Amino acid sequence: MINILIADDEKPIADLLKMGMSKAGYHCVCVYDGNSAIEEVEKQPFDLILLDVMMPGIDGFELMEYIKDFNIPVVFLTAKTSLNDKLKGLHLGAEDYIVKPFEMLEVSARVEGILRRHGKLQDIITIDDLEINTSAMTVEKSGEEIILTKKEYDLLLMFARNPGIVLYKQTIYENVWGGDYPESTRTVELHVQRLKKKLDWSDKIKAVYTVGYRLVVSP
Amino acid sequence: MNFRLRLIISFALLISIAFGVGGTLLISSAFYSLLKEEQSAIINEYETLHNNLIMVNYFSSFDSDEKMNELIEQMSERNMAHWQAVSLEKSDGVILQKGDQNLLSYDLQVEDQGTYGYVLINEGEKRRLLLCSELETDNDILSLKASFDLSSAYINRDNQLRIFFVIYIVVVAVGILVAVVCANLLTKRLQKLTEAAREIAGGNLSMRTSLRTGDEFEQLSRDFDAMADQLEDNIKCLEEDVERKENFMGAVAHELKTPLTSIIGYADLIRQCNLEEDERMMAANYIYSEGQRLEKLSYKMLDLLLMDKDTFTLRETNIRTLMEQVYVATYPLAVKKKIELKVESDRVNVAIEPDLTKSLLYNLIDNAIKATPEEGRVKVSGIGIEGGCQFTVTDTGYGMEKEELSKITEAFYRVDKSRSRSQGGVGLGLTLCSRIVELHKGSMEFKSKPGQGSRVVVRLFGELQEGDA
Repeated sequence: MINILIADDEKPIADLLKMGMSKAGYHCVCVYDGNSAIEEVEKQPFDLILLDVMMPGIDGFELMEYIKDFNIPVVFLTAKTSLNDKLKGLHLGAEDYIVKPFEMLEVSARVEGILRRHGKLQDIITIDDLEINTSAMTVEKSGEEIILTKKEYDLLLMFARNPGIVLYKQTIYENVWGGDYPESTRTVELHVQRLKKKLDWSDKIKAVYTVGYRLVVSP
Repeated sequence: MNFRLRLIISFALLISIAFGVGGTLLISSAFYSLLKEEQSAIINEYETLHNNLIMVNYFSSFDSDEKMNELIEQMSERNMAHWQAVSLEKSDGVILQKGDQNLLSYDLQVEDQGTYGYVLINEGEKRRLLLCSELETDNDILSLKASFDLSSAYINRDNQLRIFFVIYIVVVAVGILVAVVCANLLTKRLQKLTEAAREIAGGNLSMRTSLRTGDEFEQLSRDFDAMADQLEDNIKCLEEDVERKENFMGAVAHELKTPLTSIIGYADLIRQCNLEEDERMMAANYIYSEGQRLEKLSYKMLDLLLMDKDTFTLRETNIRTLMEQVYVATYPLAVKKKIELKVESDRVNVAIEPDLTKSLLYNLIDNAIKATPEEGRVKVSGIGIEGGCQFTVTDTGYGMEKEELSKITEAFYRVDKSRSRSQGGVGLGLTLCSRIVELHKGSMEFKSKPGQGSRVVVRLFGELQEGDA
């Protein structure tokens, strides 16, 4: 299982990240200051660190210098939005930069991307008899390839990566199409309908009230 | 036309006009007096000739032309340079002619007998004086005409003018040179000032002129530098102000974003996922507590914003009454932490803003209680001092390092963040306090040692203004 270290002096936020990342299927360890982060890093191997910049004692940048030798990908978390801070963080070798307030889906998507780049995630996602090869961008069901459009593929990937989680139409639109969600659009509904038809997944992708969809997976 | 060129031209004009006019006047006055002298010398000579002729005529019979001829011959030889031509004529013929008679062919009338007529004749370069007179004899009237050379005076003048012209050119040239040097010297200072002004306008505020010439330029330079100093100070003040505001805004943004991130994040988790019961409780609890934190923060921010000088009025207030009210408000906090809270005060009236002072004391005592572990002690005292009052809050708490003391009034600075968080602080208490002290033109001093507790002494000064009561 992927092991993630979360270091943030704001306990509510550290716990929030832990809860969200656990839902996405990662194992998480929370620390609330720089010193305990160092202790944890020395104690056990991590696949990724979510690191807050502003911490009392040892701050995120200093910590970054120290843990560089462990070769663990680091994602900075901060409320600072200035370009200088971003550059400093990336310059120090951070993989990515997430600005507070953030959305959990965004964090998990970025974390997944980084883990994939570092070869820590498998390229193939399997849901029952469906297999998605994320490097070849192909979808097979019971050994038979299914042709999807780019948008349908992105949509499927979003469901596959967030099983059991309610994906709001607005969130889907923002992630797959990008930009602000237009009030009177049926784009998301139409695409979900077509995807369900192509995959024969009418029982797997369930509408949640009228707000969104959820991929139901058998335990 | 720039100042330098104008200066050079005016100086050159002044020199050339003054020297030219002066020299010309001098030369012409010398010339005219010389001319007059020459002229009178010539007239004298002519007169002598005339008188001699009369004399000759008188003593000898008048047909003695020989004698006259001899006389003229003698006189003309004596002064060859002047004599050009002379003629003596009777009514019926010429007695004597000498020299170039063409020079005498000028119609000149004598008005009276015994007087001389003379005229100054200019013929190009040549100038001569033509004289004539009449001599009366027994039976005839003789007319005497003579021409004298006068050009020497003119030649003299022309020579002088030539020499003067050369001197004039030299003087004017030297004058212009001096003018250029002076103008350069003057404008160099101006240029330095101009350059400095441009530099400052361009943003280099540290530019100074510091001319030490001991004249008006030095004064100007000093004034200019003083202005630049003032400007630099003001700009620095403004920049610091802007930076402070920016830092404050940045801190506010951070303080707002942190609870917002939690609230939005947990709410999102609740709506997206099927959370377990304990997870749901935890998320809801965080939303509640972070919401409360936002509420507290917004109230404190509002307090800071409302603390406007316009609404600030001092009122005669009894310290003891005020302290009793503060005691009532802070007592529950102390009881909760099992801290012994002791309040003592003088019964004096001072002019302060009572609501703000209460808020100040509340914040200080709240801080003291937060910084003191259970079973500790917090002591508050209020006394009247010259022109105001003094409050002292002493605790037996954790204390602070010396480096911390300078930062504790900064917005959102917390000595121990997790302790502050767990006790519901938002990091604005002392910022609020220092603003209140500022409005009272008072002072706030902290003394602290780690492990031994802290003491804060606040002095407030207020004068009742007429109509305020």
